[in-house]
This record gives sequence, C-alpha cells and structure tokens, in this order.
Amino acid sequence: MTPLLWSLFLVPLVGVAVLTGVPVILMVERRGSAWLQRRTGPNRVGPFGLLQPMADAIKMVFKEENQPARASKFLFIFAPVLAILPPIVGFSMIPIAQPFTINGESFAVQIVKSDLSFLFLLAITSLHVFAVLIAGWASNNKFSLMGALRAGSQMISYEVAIGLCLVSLVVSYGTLNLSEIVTLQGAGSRLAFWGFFMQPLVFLIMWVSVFAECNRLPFDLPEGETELVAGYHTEYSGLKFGLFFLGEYAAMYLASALMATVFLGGYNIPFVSPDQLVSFVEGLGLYGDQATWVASALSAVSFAAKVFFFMFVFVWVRWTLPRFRYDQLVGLGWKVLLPLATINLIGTMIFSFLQKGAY
Amino acid sequence: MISLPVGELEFHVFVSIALFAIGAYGFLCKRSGLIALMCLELMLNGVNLFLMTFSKHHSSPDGASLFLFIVLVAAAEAAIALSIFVILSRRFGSVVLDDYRRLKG
Amino acid sequence: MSEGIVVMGQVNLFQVVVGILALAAAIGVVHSKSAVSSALSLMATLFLTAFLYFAKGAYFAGVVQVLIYAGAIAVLFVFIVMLLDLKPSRVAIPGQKGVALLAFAATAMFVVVVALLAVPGLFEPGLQESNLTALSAKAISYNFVSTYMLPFQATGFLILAAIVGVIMLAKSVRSPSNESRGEP
Repeated sequence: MTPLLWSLFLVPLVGVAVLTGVPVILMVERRGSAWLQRRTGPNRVGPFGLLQPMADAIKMVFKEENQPARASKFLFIFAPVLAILPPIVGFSMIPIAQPFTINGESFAVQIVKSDLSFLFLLAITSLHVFAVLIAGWASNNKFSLMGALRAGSQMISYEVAIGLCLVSLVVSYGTLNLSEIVTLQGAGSRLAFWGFFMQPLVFLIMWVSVFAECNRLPFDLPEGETELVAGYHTEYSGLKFGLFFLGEYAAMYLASALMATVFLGGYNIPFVSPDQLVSFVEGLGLYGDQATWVASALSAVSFAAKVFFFMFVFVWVRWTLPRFRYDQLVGLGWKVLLPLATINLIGTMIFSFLQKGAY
Repeated sequence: MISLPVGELEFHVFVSIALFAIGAYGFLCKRSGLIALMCLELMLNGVNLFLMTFSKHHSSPDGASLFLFIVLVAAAEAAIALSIFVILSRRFGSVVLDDYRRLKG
Repeated sequence: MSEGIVVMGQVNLFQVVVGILALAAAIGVVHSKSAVSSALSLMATLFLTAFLYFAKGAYFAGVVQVLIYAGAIAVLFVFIVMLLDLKPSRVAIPGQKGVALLAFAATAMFVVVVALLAVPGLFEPGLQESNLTALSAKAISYNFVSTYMLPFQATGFLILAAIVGVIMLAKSVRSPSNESRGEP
C-alpha cells in the first residue's frame, strides 16, 4: 500500500465517521437534555428511542422545500453547501490515531500531512462565516439578515481571540504541525506536556471562543428563537436545512477534535506514550506490524473519547446556561478574552525567552 | 497533470496584470465607494500575485515577505476605510462618491 | 508536499483553470449589479488566488491569503455591504472625460504589458530548479526578523494606529443626534 492510496482510503473513512457521529451526538443531546431537565426524552422510535435520529433524517429528506420570493436563487442554494464543506474539509488536518507500520513502513493516520496544518485548519474554518452571511442575505428576510449580521460580527470577534491563542500555542510548542504537536504532548508519558497543563489560560479562552464560533448556547445569538425566529436559517427547510444542521454539528466535532488535539494530547492515552502502548500490545501476544495496528486502533479510541468529552460539554452547557445579551457577548470577546489572550501571549514569550534564550 | 505549451511564469504574470487592470478599471469607473475599495483590493491582489510569482522565479523569500506586508497593510486599510464609509453613509445616506460634494463648496 | 525541488516550466491545466476563474470573478466584482454579489465575487477572486499560490508550492502565502484576505477582509466587505443595504449603483457617470481617459490608460497599460509578454526571452531564465524552501514559513519569518526588521515594526505600529483609529471612528457613530446632519 502506498501512502497516496492510504490517504485516498482515509478520505471517505473520515468523512463517514464525522457524518455518522452527528446522529450519535443528536441522540445524546436529546436524551441528555431530557435527563438534565428531568424529562423523558424521545423514547418511541426503536429500542430506547435509538432510531429517533434516523426518523428525523427521513423527515428532513421528505419535507417540502420552500424558496422565498425574490431571493437570490444561486446564493440560496450555495449557502448550505458552503456551510457543510469547511468543517468536513478541516478534518483532513487532524491526526486521528498514532502511526502504524506495514512491512516496516510507517503510515500516519492523517489525510494532509502539512507543516502548516494548524494554520490550514483555522483558514478553512474562517470560511464558515460566509455560509451564514450568504444564507442570511439570500433569504430576503430581515430576521435572517439580522441573524447573519450578528453571526458575522460574533465570529469575527472571537476569531481574533482564537488567533492570539494560536500564537501563544505556537510559541510554546515551536511548531504549526498538528501531528508534531501531538507527538510532543505524548513524549515521556507525562501529562505535564499536555497543552492543558502548559497553557491553561489559553485552554479556557479557546474553549469559550469555540462556543461562540460554533454559535452554540450560551452564545447562540444568531439564532435566538425568542428574538429572531431562527436566525439565518429561518427560510430554509427540508434538505437545505438538514445541510445547515449537519454543518453546525460537524463544526462542533471539528472544534472538539481541535481542542482534543491541541490541549488533551490528541490520540495519546494518558500516562502511556505511543511506544509504551505498542510494547503493551506486544505483551498481549501480538508482534511486529499487527501490534502497531492494534495500538493505532486503541489510540483512535482514546481520541474519540476525548472528542466525545468536548461534545458532551457542548450539550451540557447548552441545557445549563441561559443566553447572553448581545452587548455582553461582544464585550466578553473584546474586553475580557482579547486582553487575557494578549497578556498570556506576552507571558509565554517572556517565559520562552528565559527558557530557550534568543535564537 | 496535463501541461500546456505556456510558460508558468508568463501565465502568472498575465493573470496578475489582468487582475491589476480590472481593478484599476473598476476603481476609476465605479462611483460606489465600497466597490471602488473592492477594486483597490483587486489591484493589491494582482500585485501580490506578481510578487509571489517572481519570488518563486528567483527562489528568494523577499517577494513573499513583501506580500505579507501588503496583506497586513491591506487589512488595516480595509478596516479604516470601511468604518469611514459606515460613518459617511450614516451622515450622507449614500456611499456614492459623487454625493460627497460638501468640500467643493 | 515536501519534495523541495520543483522544475519551473509549463503551466498545467489546474493553474490555467484557476487563473481564468479568478479573472472571471474579478470581472464579476466590477460588473455585478448589486454590491453584495460584487463583494462575494471579491471573496471568490481572493480564494482562487490562494489556489494559485498553492499550485506554486507557496503554502504559507496561500494560507495567509485565505486566512486574512478571504477570511477577514472579504468578510468585512460582505458584512459592511449587507449592513448598509445598498441599492444597485450606477455603473459610471457619463461625461467625465478624465475618468474615461484613465480607464483607457489602464486598458492600454494592460495591452502593452501583455504584448510585451509575447516577446520571447523577455524574462531571464531564472533558476531552472526553484528551491521551494525559500517560500516556506521559516524562510519568510527569518526574513522578517532580519532583513525587514524595521518595516516589520513599522507595520506593527500601523496596525496599532488602525485599531485605535477604528475605535475612535466607531465611538463617533454612537451619538449621531449631537452632530449636525450633512446634506443628503
């Protein structure tokens, strides 16, 4: 198997994994919200209501599609496509499991192995805001436009904080390559190298900003039902709405995957370095390539667990905290997170200078 | 990948100059201030492509560095210019450049 | 992605298609009826130009182009155009000879330069094997802190000044009732 063939095999695998992850988190969200609010939740379709997401999907496919009068036809159809593309493309940069070997040749479980993968990821996700803006504009509806403008200013504001967090992280890791960042965190089987322990403040800032970037509660002003009907996707129905929905959850998955990769050691299992994992599997009676295969699968499970942790917190926060007011939201971004990120960046630079000296 | 009998350098120079010319044409002919600004960005973009093309041609990072400077200055310029246009449109009710005639007296 | 040495030479189909699409989008900026489609065409042009950079092997430049140009500047344009909700504008004011002359000059310059491109051997052959490490993030950033240190600092101050300026402009908007309204 050549590396190119492996990458081509990985593309549908990752895409399908993300798209099947969405119904899973939907189910968790509906049952979880019911559990948090002492309700029963959907339990009629299938055993324990497990087929509810399937029923939702079928309903969405067969719904009638409306198109508002005097709306831009091309842009109206283009916006949902643009909503789903960036989050799924972004997954090509995430290292999903530790590398395995076939006949001594190493294969990384990452589609795009670029030195700039962190920057690539941010660049792609920064295009997500266009989908929202175009959708709001093309709907020819003032609630949609209001939602889109809110989303635009919100996402731009919080992207600034995320950018400064990125600089802090790059200064402390010394690389923009996500797989190198994961390798650095896994070195020496200690948690001290995890981004969470190296940059706790950045972790907090980025976590809050990610909520705003994904338009989730407590920052879901762009689609605040009580004020704007449903925000930028008010006019969308049927499959087009389904694409927005899918895109939103895929963006949450991407954000969770990025947080897990950068702060929680990526695919590394806590207290176990990749080499120790391979030798542990070899201790179970597997040798050579097969041991690396099993170790790789185990690390993928560890990564999935971390991603699900962040996804669960998304759900948890949604059903716990009330919505912010708009000026509070923008004020938090510009007056709290941005100065904190700047101070942290200066501190990181001074620390790094004292530690490593001038280059 | 299929190669065409055109030099890469020549093609990129052609694209960059065409971008610049389209931008210059729009900047001079459009009366809406915002679209004039967009055309300004197009011109800058043409220059950027030119710089990157020759940066690669001579395999030197100087052109790429100048490209980054242009991007940074363009970001600052866009932020300032757009906020000025927001204020102007609140005050005059339009962004058409010909409507701002108060300075002419 | 990390081959390092690429032979300069013929343009390939991908670059031609992307380049022509970028030009088409640029014409869309100038010729769109509504300002929103102009702004979206601008975004398309900037994004497609980033693909030209990727095709050159200048990944860092391409990423910066997408992140700052398409992801920030174009978003700002789209945002402001939607916020102001502009009417379709007049294409050009007839009877302005100076503008027509300048537009003609732009076209003439374009024609002349394209004609010059047709002259064989105009450009120096350059390096047959172009070394892509010169376009890597490391080389560019090293250049920033060595050769271009002063312009780098100056750009930092420029951006600081821009931030302060934008804040001042935004504050002046807040109380329009106190200011005398201009003539429409």
